[in-house]
Amino acid sequence: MSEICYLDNAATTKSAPQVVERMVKSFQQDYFNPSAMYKPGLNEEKAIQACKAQLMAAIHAKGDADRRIIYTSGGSEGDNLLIRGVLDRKRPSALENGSIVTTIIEHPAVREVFSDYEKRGVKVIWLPVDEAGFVDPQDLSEVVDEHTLLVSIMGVNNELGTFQPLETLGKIIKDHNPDCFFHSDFVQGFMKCPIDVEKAQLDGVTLCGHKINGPKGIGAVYLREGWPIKPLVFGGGQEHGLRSGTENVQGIVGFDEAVKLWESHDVIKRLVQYRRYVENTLMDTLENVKILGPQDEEKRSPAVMSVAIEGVRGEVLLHACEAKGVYISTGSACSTHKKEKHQVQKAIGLSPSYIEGTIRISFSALTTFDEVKQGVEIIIGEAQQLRKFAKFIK
Amino acid sequence: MENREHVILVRYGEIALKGLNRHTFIDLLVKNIRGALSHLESVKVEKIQGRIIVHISDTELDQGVDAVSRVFGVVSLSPATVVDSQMEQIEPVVLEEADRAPFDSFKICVKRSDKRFPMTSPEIGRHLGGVVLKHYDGQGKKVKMKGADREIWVEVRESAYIYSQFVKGRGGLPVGCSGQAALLLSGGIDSPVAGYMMAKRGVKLTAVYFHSFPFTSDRAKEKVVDLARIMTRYTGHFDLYVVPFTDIQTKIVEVCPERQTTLIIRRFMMRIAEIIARKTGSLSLITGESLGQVASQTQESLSATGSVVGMEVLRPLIGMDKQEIVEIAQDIGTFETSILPYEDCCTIFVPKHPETHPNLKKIAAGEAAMMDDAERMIQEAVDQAEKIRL
Repeated sequence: MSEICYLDNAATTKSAPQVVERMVKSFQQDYFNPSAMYKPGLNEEKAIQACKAQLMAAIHAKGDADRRIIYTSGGSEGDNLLIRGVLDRKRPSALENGSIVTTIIEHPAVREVFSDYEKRGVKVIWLPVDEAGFVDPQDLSEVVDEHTLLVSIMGVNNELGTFQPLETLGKIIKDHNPDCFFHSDFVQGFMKCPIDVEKAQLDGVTLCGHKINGPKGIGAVYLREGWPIKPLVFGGGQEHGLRSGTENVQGIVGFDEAVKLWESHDVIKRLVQYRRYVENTLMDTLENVKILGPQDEEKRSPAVMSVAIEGVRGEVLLHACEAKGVYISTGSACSTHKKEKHQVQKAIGLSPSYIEGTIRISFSALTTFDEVKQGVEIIIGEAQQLRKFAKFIK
Repeated sequence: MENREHVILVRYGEIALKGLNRHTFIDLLVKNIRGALSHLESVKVEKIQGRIIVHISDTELDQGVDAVSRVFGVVSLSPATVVDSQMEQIEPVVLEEADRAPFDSFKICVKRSDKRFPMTSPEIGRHLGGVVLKHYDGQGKKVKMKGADREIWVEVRESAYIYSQFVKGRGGLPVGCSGQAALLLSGGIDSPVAGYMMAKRGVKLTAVYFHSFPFTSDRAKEKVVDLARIMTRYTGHFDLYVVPFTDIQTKIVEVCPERQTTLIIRRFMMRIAEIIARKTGSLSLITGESLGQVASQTQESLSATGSVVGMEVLRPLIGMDKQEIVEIAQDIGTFETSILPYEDCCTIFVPKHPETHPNLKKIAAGEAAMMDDAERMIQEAVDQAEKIRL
């Protein structure tokens, strides 16, 4: 029996032992500043370049890895850097006459940036999604024109697991306007769903370390050649001037090690099994349960799923499971500090009696089948108990 | 070498009028001021005639003024500089006070209780006025006896106290002089304000919070602890009892009529609070109820909940509007914490159509299904309560 069942890996993951080991070695032996003039500094610079090359390969990007990959503190900074970086280089007249496009189910790190531009008078088009969380290519096709400055579409949704057809969407965008910047927050998709930035014609992609058993505090963005952006952080000119500050070398090598861990095909195969097991067990045991997001494994991430259980409050179920050592969430952890709840569930048109009962279950490369099995058993048991109080759900 | 130190002159009002109890009251106030300053290093508190003097280092003066201004019983206070009662030492301090902020007109106010000082009060005032005028020669400063921009006070006692700032205290009575009472503290806006108001009338608090995990989360409990901690700035230290309430609350929901659940839950909370109150030396209960605010706060509902206990229930917010309560919560700094979005024990299991005009007999009948095992469940909840010292 596992002592705890950690099934909230879409919020963050435990760092893998090999990640920690490589970081400790770096802390103790390779602590030099990559900008230093002496040899150990140069060695660090080279080590970072090798890590960048691996990220490029993982997203099938072409070009000079050192310039195309920029390390950041994580997903939120990456989204801000790319969206603000592109828009803040635009002339005021371009912003005044242009528009920017995103979806209504983005992570707050994208949504709030768009809201900020909207407040400043930039026209924002918020695309709806269907009941599985997909953007309708037709909708996109109707809104992108020669005035569209930027489109940002989350690759994999952090609650539903919906994996957008980025290649189809990219083609539509570029067919309508080759000069429109196509960005995707791929934090939840990275290493879990295939991505080819060339085929998808992506200009900017946000990645992050701690969702794939890497450390917190490290992320990266891919930026296509030919797109000048305005930095968020000015200073010593690291990352070719686009992100000043001494490189987080330990974070970078930890991130690199995490990518290696997920490269094994076995990981994805296991997660698909877990996800199916959870889905089947819940559907077989509980009545009035909905599995949110797409059914087709090709169109979704195997690592995250949301389940709506009628007659319980997700938050209460979460705490009841917590008492038994099972950790799940009710949605994006990043938004529990904010009052607007259930944005994604509302966006896919889930009925109110199910919205309150939504929980999110998510896996990582370190998740074991025992954890999943035991976790689901406890979730089901607690949900059955809590359904006695269904009449009090507001 | 001159002797110079910083003090806070503390004035008290109402408590000075309390006849024979006066000394007890003042001693209590001194004790509470010491408590409020216990986090500072070099503080000495002493009584002098009609005042309390806090000796404090220059670097901690602002923090000290802030803390003392929140002690109930304090009417006003002034940070002051103390020097020997010699004119050559008083003069430079008066000029420093004058320099604190720009002014056009000023007045020197003198109190001389040390009659050995060689000048009379009017003479001291005229002399120091002359010193200030000379210092600002050519800048058009004027002495104004009424409505001056700056008033610089000089109190000549065994030493001379010089000050020009008056900070308002919160008034009220020193906490502890009105005995102790147990506050039913939820995570909402009202109950911290109720506790604050009773503390202002000299009541020492004990607090009781009902924790219904998993229906209320650990974050909700942490929020209540945070609220209690904010309250201690005014109330002094107190104990918070966290009562595990899940079993009682869920059983009520299962076996009692739905319309009555809120009231019956509150009746059990009152019963448990009363036991903790008696155990800890409290004479009354305090609630944050305000007449008509919600269904459980109609006159009938208040009787239905109040009637289960054999002690006074103090409801200081009973006649206040929500907005008035919110204003006090904002003033005392509990509001921002109170509105954090965690469920509290009063907001879960709210029936869709709650009873608003309950009949005592019907409530008792509705509650009957609980009563076989009530005593044991209540005792268990009391025994398992976690005590948190704040």
